[in-house]
Amino acid sequence: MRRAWGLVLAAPLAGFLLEAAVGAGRATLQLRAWGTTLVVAGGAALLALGFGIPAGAALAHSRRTLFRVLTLLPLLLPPVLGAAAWLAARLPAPGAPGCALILGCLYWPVVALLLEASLRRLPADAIDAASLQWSTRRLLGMVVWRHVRPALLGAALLVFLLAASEFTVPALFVVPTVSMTVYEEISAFRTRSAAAAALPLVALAVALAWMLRRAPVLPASSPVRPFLQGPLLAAARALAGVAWAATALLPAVLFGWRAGSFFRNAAMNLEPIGWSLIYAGATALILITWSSLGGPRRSRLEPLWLATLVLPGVIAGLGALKIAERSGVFPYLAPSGALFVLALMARFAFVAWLPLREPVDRSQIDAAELAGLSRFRIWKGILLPAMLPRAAAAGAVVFVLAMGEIGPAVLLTPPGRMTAAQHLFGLMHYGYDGVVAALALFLFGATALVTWSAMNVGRFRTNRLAG
Amino acid sequence: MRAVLVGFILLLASCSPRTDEIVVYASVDEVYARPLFEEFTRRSGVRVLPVFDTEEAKTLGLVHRLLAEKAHPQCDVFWAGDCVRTALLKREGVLQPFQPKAGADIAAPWRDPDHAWTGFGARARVIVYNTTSVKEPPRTLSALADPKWRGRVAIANPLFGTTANHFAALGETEALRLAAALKANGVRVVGGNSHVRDLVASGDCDVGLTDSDDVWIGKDRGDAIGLVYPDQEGAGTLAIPNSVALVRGAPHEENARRFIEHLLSPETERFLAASPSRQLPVRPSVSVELSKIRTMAVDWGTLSDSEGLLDRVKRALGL
Repeated sequence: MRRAWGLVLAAPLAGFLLEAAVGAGRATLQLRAWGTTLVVAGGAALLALGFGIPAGAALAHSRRTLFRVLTLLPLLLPPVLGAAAWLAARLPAPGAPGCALILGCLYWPVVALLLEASLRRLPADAIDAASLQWSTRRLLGMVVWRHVRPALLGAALLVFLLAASEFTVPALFVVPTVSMTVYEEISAFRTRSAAAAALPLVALAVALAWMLRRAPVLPASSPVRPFLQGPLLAAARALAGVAWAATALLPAVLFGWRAGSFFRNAAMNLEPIGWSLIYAGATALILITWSSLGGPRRSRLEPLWLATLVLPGVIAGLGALKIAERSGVFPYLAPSGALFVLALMARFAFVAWLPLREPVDRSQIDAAELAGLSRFRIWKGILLPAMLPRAAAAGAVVFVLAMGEIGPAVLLTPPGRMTAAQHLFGLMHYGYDGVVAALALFLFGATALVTWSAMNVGRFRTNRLAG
Repeated sequence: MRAVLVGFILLLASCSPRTDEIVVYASVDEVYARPLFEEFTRRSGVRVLPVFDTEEAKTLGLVHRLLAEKAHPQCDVFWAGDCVRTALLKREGVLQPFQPKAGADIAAPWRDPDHAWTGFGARARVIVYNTTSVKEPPRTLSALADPKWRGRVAIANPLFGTTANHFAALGETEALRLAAALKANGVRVVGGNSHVRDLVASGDCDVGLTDSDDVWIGKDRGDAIGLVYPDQEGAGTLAIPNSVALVRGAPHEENARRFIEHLLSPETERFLAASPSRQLPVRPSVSVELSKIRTMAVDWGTLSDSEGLLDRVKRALGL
């Protein structure tokens, strides 16, 4: 059952590739668009490293939930809000470097979180031994850097891919990146050209999936052995504070300032907000259920799920639309919104899968099986406790990402059921600043609440057991 | 897992559309469409379920949907802010001819000769200028390439929306000449027509090419901007009507016909003319304003096949 669903989640990408094979257009590499993409996505990756490295180090030396929520906020916000904040601040048209700045400010948490995960797995004995003999600088170079290098490389590549496939920011500012080209080619009904433009993204996604098989993506529960102290730690925390203030607090203040009567404006948009909650909730619930069932395992489909995540969202939408039409299931799935939810699930399958693919060490399962425990008892007694906090966190991430998704929404939302992000993206052009700011604030608040709640699931459960 | 899936499918199935509804795909501004939908519901008791396109994707998402749904139509009525993509849908066999009684007094330039769609309430492509910094605004499109406006002109992305229609309507030679001249003059290309207006209103640019409705909305909120209908001594100004069409195999065909009759009534044109977008009624009996403007003669069917030209325009603009 889990495998079958895994295949279904790869269907939108397969649908798009099928359309590309039979569609119009020429298979050109779009070198000019890739040149601009290198500036935008490369710049975003560099900025993400600049913000993410000190923030990751600061996170590794702290256990406060607030800092993690502040770190996750920019990542989970729809990028269009970054562009909205830019416009709200009345800044000039940004061009490619400006787009890199906006996207870097949104994606730096990828670096911070993957770095923190890697730092929390630093071998404590190596730190202890090195700190006895070497200076801090040499310790950082010889032990820490060598240990975290793969994680940083993977994080930088992931940021590059996410920035390269982001459409809304370059579209608002007419910066011709590869995602814009994909969109333009689809607009002109040249799916083959669109697929050719996106092909390098697929290749990079497959390479990244291969890299992430080796890099730890979740922090170990044990605290990190401190390797920074004094002025270095203070500097890391100060830089992290700048990142949190600039990318999470400042946009919230900007929207709050321009929101006018928040409750009146938000009340005007209750219907799209409600539909967003339903679609995102259904997507998160089904995906987490799917990825939680069964034992620890990896899947050969992982690169396809990752590719669907890092390709422009409109590809998943168009692929789902076309394959549903060709397979004859369209009239059954589209009117209810099931096709839209399916496209959202395909987009974020990798996000739900990754934290839950190996919740416990395989040896624990083997030992339980040898002891004669049934599969249900193994799941209930060993897997479930290990998975619950991760499932809550992954569910929260999927929920807020699905809330902000626009690409598939344009093609697949059922009549009369527009999402909040779609509504917001449209309203931005009509000059309804108050309504846009109110909707943006709502997305901010929902993101913060869901993230904070998910992060406290583990603590709540521990307290309840202790009580 | 199965229980969750079954529950989910049942939940979604319970949300299926009812028969007293009508599905309208609308690539027009939501804020103007909603009141008209509500008025139709009030009069007929039929609930309108709209799908709107996002501004950046103007019509693209809906056109793809309509093409994909051709064998199993979900939509009853397509209402577009222009008639180019509507003409494309006609070519692809997505639309069903319908000659509404309410549109009988709409003149030939504003309707499809085969009755695949009918036009109403037009917007004009205008030159917007900053009234504080510009005392003598340009009167022609060519004048936007005058060196005195170097680096001070803004237009929207020529691949989408009414800007695409405008370049296509100019024809290959004139469109490429204008694009190259604008590029040489340091034109700023932005995401949408409202951004063009905002750049001019803020003084970042002096003049721009945009839609008349964007200018009126800006003026109403106090922007120091004005508009010029370009080329009144030459080829004329491009006026782009809304278009409404019945989808072939519409699930609620009877309701769809009633809705189209409602949308094509003179009251709708009056409403659009009185709205902040101040659209130009195509019926002289409602308003003579459009007849005072010299408008371009356009074959909308030809314009619907202009992707190649727009690619060349994009390259000429250096995008």
